[in-house]
Amino acid sequence: MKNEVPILEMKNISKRFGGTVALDNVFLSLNRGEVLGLVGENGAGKSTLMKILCGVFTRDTGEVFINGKETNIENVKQARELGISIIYQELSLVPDLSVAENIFLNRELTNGKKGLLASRIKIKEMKRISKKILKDNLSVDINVNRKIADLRLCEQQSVEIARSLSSNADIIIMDEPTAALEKEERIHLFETIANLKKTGCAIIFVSHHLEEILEICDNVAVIRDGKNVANLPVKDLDVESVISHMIGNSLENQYPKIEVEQGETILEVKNLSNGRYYEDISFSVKEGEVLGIAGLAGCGKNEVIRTIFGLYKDYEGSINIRGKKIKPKRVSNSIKTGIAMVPAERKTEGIFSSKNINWNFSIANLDSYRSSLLNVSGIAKEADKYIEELSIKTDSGKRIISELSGGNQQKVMLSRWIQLDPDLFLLEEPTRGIDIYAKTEVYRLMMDLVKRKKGIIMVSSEAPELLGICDRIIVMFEGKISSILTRAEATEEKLAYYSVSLEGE
Amino acid sequence: MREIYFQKNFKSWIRNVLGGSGGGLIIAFIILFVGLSIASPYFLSFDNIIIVIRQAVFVAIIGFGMTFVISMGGIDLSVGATLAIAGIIIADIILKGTNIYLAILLVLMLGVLIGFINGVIIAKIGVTDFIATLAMMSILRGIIMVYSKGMPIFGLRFPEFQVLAQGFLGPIPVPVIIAAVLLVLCLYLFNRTKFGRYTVSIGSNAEAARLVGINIPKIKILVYTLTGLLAALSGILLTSRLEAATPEAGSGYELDVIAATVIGGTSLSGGRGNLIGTAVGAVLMAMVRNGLNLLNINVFWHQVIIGIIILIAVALDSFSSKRESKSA
Repeated sequence: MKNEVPILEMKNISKRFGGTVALDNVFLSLNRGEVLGLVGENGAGKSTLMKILCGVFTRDTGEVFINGKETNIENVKQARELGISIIYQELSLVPDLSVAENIFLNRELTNGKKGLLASRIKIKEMKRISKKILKDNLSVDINVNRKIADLRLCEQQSVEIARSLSSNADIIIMDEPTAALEKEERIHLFETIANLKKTGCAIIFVSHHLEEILEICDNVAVIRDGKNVANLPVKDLDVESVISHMIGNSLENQYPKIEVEQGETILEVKNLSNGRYYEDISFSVKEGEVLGIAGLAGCGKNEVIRTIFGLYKDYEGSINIRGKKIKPKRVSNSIKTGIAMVPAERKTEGIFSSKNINWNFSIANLDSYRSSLLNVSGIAKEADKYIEELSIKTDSGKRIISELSGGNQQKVMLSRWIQLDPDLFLLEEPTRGIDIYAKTEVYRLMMDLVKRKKGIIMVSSEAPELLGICDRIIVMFEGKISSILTRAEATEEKLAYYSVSLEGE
Repeated sequence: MREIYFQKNFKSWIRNVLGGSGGGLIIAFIILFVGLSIASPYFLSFDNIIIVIRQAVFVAIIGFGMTFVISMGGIDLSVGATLAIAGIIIADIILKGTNIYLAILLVLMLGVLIGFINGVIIAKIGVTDFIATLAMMSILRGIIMVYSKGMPIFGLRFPEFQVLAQGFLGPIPVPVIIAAVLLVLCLYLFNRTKFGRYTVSIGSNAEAARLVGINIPKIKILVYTLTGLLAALSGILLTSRLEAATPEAGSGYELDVIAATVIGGTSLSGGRGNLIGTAVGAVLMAMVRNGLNLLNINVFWHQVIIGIIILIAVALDSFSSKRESKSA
């Protein structure tokens, strides 16, 4: 085995986009029957590398060897002919067609005649081959006549893999294949991968879930800032060591938690109910406090804070800000009472993606930039101050916001509200989709806010950050508060437990 | 290398002039201008160019309103009918003896009312803009027919009224001055007021706009009201120019206005608007019609050629912006 020629070797691969170096002399090697984990932060260069391998991008320098033979991958079609296939996070199946039709989509077996109308499809043959691949190579039992829409997600994934195999792929790239899978389906996928290994396929497994990488892969390649930083067998690694390779130092300061002395109560919510989403919710937030809200999707946590922000008009119970009852009906009024909200879906609810940083920065606070007409240069000046202060990485406030990384976009979102100096920040998933560095910077910003006597409510689906940054954590289950835990009491197990059951049951 | 540098600079200069978009428009404009100057000896004269610009005014003025509507992610199909009803009514009430300035004021108020109703139906009742303004178009066209019994109204020979579209201030026609003043006002509204920013923000991302506290219904109503007002004004000017009003005036105008706006670089998906582009787009379309007339080309071909020019201008623009986003 040791002397075998690698099925794939990429040597000294470099790629630049304009002035930025995306990949710098990267090396990658893959043997038959190997599962290679490819990890790195967002923007480290792993997807660029995979896109070069699939022919989406062309490399600037370097060589690619397939089965020891130097090859030049110039486009997607060529890569496919060389047996390289990629399975994206979003599956590319046609939901209304059958399994067999999907496996042979665009490569239908025909009677040999050319032309869309003249050729007749050999559906029986397609079904036979589909069945054989699913059974022999993947050991799954899926009726090839069923529609894709009727299959479970993991079954759809098997179909997608079968499609790769039917085109004789022996290098399969899986991009975040487990992101949308339930636990059981994940086990199913791992079995499929094990079967693929036996048939001699080589797999590149791209994932953020390090536990999975360590479970399923033989070797792990870590990329940081476009360079190889480690190529190690899995037995020499654990989660901490992978992370430290990824970010280049230890994790100690990921949560820069400071506990500040808490002052007066800012927000008090009593017996808040909304017929549909939540029931009998009571809690309070003090100056200098970070209150976390945990719970599964659909538990009502987002609806609670959105009610406070004035987005759900129908509710019972009371909401008090600094002892004064408010009836949040309009966002603009909530903002005036000193409440700010950063929504979970940055792209669809947060940023104005076609507009520049200055625009995005100032939009909630235009009144302070005008006498009668808007003071555009005043906006730019103030924006520059925040760009500097929050170290937002950009050359100018005139840059379109969608060109920034997720982390920098999020900082612009925060600066949008910080300039208004509200008392209470409602943050939904404040670190979703941003890399580890940027996460820490967001936490640090939150700490700056509590130092200035602000109150924060953070809704998050990531237990580690709740544990790392909050003073108290509310856990919700099916619209009710199932537990309120102090920082000292809270553990990952407790959060998980109360997320699926009410206290005392 | 130097050439590339020059091209890049030239392009960014154009982009600056046009406020970040509409490169395709400028290219189409220059090609047509040079082409028509060579093809017809009459085209490139001061008088003819003034004629072209004066012809463009009617579309341009409504186009300013349409730029707000489209950059907010909306559409207004009722502007042609609003123009027509404004024309018919002002012609009628002036001939019946109403004071000319009062008549103008009343008809402008009518435009405001029509736009306001459009806005309320769209923003408060929630009918989609396309359907709401299509229905409004049909209703207004019907009212015009009932009101005028299908007959045009002639004989508006009142100097105070004629001067609006026929007068000159030095060498420059009065309607061109009116349009220029409106352009400056709209530029300020669009770029330098909260109203303008909110309008474009709604077009860029309506959900995000809601979450920063923008009162979306209010802005929508204001935008459609502004467009109604401008359409009525354009109707008054057209009537003044023709000294008459016809019931079918302005049919198809909505499409000309939308075309001028879109080839001017305003994005049909919202979030980006360009008032100067709209003005240039309106002039471009008038220029093409004028050139085709000078070249004695059959009127039936005009629509075909204008359609092709719209396609080319918009395609050039989306092509250049696509290439730019790829290289970024």
